[in-house]
Amino acid sequence: MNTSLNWLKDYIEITQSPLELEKGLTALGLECIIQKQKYPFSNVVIGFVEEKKQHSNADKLSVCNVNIGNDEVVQIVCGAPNVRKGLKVPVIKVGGTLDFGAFKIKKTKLRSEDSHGMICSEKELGLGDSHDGIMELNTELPIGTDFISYLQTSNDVNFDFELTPNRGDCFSHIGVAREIAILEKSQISEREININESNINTKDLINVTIENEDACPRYATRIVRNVKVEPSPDWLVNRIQSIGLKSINNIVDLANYVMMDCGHPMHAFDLDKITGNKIIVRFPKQNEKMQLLDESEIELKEHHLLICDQEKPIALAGVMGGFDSGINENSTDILIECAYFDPKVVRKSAKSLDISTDASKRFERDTDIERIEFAINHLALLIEELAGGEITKGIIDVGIKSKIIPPISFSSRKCNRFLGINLKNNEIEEIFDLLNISYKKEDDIYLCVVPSYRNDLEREVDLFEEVARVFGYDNIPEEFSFTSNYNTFIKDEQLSFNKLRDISASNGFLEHYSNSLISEQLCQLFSKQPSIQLSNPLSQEMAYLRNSLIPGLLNAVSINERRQQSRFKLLEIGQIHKKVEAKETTSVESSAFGLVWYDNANPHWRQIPQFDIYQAKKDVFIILKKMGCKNLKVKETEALGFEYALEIKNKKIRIGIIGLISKKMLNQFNINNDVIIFDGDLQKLSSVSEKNIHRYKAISQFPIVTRDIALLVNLNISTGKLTSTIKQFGGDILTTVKLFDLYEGKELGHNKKSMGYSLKFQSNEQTLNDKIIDKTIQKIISALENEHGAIQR
Amino acid sequence: MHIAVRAEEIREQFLQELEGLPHDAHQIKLLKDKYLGRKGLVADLFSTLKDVPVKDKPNAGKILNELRQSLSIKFESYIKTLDSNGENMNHGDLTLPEDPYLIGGIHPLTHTLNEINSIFIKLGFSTVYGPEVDTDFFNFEALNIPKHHPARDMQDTFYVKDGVVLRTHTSNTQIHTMLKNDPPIKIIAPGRVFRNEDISVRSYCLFHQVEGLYIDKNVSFADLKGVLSHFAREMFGQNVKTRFRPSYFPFTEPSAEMDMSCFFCDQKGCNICKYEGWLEILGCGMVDPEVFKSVDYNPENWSGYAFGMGIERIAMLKYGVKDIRLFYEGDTRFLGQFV
Repeated sequence: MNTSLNWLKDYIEITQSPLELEKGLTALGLECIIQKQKYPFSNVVIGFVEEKKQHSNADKLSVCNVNIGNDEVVQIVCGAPNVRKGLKVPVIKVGGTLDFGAFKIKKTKLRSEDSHGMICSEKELGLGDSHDGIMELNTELPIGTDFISYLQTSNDVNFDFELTPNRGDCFSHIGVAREIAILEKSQISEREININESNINTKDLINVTIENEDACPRYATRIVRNVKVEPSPDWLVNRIQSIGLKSINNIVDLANYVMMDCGHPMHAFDLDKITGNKIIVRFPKQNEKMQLLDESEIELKEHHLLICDQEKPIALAGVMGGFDSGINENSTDILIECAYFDPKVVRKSAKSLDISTDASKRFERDTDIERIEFAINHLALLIEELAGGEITKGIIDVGIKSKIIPPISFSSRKCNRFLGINLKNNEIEEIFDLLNISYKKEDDIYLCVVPSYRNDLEREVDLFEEVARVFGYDNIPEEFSFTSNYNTFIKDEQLSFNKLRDISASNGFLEHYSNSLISEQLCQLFSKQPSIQLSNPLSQEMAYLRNSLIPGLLNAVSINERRQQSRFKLLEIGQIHKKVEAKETTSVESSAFGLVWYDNANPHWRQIPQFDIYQAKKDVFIILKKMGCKNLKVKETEALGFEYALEIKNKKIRIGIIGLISKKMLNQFNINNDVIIFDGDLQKLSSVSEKNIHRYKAISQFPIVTRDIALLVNLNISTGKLTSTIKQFGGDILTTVKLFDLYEGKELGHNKKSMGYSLKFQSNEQTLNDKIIDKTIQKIISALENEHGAIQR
Repeated sequence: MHIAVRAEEIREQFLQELEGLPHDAHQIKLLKDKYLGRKGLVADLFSTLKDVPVKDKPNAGKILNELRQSLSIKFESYIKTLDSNGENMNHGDLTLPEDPYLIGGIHPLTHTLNEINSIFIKLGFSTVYGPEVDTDFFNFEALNIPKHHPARDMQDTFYVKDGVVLRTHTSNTQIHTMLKNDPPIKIIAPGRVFRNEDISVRSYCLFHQVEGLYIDKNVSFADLKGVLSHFAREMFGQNVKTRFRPSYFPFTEPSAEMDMSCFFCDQKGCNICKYEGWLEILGCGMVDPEVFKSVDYNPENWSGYAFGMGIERIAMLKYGVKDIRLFYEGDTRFLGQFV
């Protein structure tokens, strides 16, 4: 909201500077800034015309000696008719600029007379349209003063407020003036309104009915007859423009003026357009429609409160007037509306139509029901003064005149304890006085009645806040103690996420955060889990909550590839969502973690291979084992969107899958090179890690025996299967199985491969002799032969 | 005593050969094999141990062990002198590049979050988590933001359906926690939150928050000021000053914004603080009695404070990041700066 300092001065004498007000009001909770005006000129000072003589060579030019401060007197040639000795004028010095730097002032000669600068008109300075002559400054400011300071002291200053939703009372000049009164430790002076009424009774001209008093507790009207709608006078135009509004005509401007002045929205109807001399405040009938002032046609919903005449709606209550009933140049008799509507009703109307007006903003934040009479009289009086006509006798004022405001009991002891301060009763009373809170003291308790404009103050704690803000938040001391014992508080829910992050980071992964909102199409690429759709998305690209981390990771890969990054590993930990209709929120949320390998780097002198599934598996094993997985098993599996994939299990719990993303999917992300991804379930991993309680295992004192075996196997037999057979038949004494050679060649025969295993044996109880080892090897070989058709070479 | 004599001979011989040894890896290996190898002179001598009479065996064994040890030490220290003299040992150019490696690291937002968390964890706060998709009740109603209240305009909300929202703040976790636990409560709730705002340099459709909640007997506004000023000093340096301004949040009363003295310019005025000398850091306040009512706590017995801050905002200030979108893009040249 925009307020003008000059306007505020109608209500209160202000001793503080604009800067002090800006600070003080912000500290009171009314965040505001002084609107900084940007002037299009530089290097302009207040000059004094010490002498003026006629230019010898030109009739219309004068040659002036102008004092521009610090006893510097320069000669300036001036063409303005009003330049004369003894004037204070704005002077742009040599080197100054006009029109935002576009025009630079140089030392020049005009018809052989030197001119050092220029005496300026309003138009030249970009301050107005007047080009009649140079500006004549009526000021006490010393010669040489920067012209901008002159403008700031003589002109208005505007404050722009960012009001919090609870302070509807400050949505007006009177409201801001009341807060300034707190800073000034004084009181505002109210306007005096004296109305002359005609003999005609208002009630003979109009009849008002409120059908729903909850939605509209009070509705007041006045009528002014025989007015002349015309352009507003200068003072009104200035006021209206000073806060950034456009002047329309005297009636509309005055209605706006009164609203901005006292915070109560006003509406003016053309009495002739109200059918049946009736105003009815009601909710719509079925299928009712209306056209608003902005010419939009709306279909009315049952919650839209209306102002109607006998036949039709003439305004959407508290939001906007109707198209047909408004004032125009031909209107003569005016009906002024000033009502109190339920904030929720107005908000619902405005929200459902996506309209926000100056009126609806104020009604939504609640208005002062007791200011209605003042506001309507003020507007009637101003209309009579500016537009002529006569005010008819009496206000039609239907409904309650005030709200019942139950007194709030306030304990200063509790207040002091709650805020951590130590105010004496007289200090608290002083604060109440500044806030216009009246009180009665009974024993230790104050019974407080708040002024009707403070709809936000209902409870004792609200008054604590008032005390705190008037006393000053900065004056409250800082303390810091915790009463209860630590053991009585709840404990951390999760600890493992950071461990996973750290382990992955140590293994070369950079952590990525991707957008949780993705398109429907991306939700279907890697997961069959139904995903959750937003009903009001920003765009179709972000209309769903992710059901997998993979799309986000691939987007990051795509960006990096496009930006010519050739080798990287990424990690993401985040929440994914599955749609489950049976849940109240429709969401089952789980924590996932994903890993990415991307390698398109040039060859290395040591022929280090690019990332492949085996290197990726190594990273995953390191990470999972460090996270507490003791018993990892992998198996080939099919996975949506993968060329090939392995599932990784720990003790029958599937932790995740790892594999190569299919070319078709990569095309969707415009990725050219291979990408390997691990897609893991963090809940499952945590369930494994939590049980990971260590117990020391004795280290064997006996020697390790190594034996190598060479096998000839069919190509289609997987190493995983061979290895698990070897482990199974090797028993407890087989400690390590290592594949040290793998060879495929024609000489081995069709579809055969040769595999060299190195096996290590060790016992906790004895030195293993050849007999035991040979027997075990034999068992392994025959099992390999029986189960997989492997032949020892 | 044959072994002792022989041992001394070997020692002498070794030292002589070591002295005259050329700086050549092959020659050095030969020498090592000759004396200390598996079939070297010392091993030979060990194999004669079985012929030594039992009573002399311990002594003979000791002599041989000493021999092996002293030869090894002499040999190693000789190698070391070669190394420290930087003589070429025919081991190739060691300044050739090492094997390729990647330096991983956690995200700048995780860094910032962890820093914030650890300050509060040291004070005994526990971290708890709440759901990203939640009902209107947890995100709004229970926090004293009724339907058709202008406070709803403070947060542009994504809806899943009527009554179900993407949480607009992690304050929903307050309600979940209080409904499940009796006071006292002392938690921080980090997490991802969503706002239906156009994506730009300064705003994104989601961001991250840490919310704090402390409920106990006789908690005062002065405690709130104390703990949050402590936080600001821990986070940004001991010289940081804080200021509290009245504000409005439906779930706290009184409500405040905490500003912090600008640590870029020491309050002299700069671009970052817009020449005001203060930076807005977080919102806070005393828990509103209405919130207590919705979780069935008796406001006569308990009081407390809550606060909430945006991780992105703090990370942007701390690292000088001007474009919020960088956090979610995954450019490794950006992420790689925070390892």
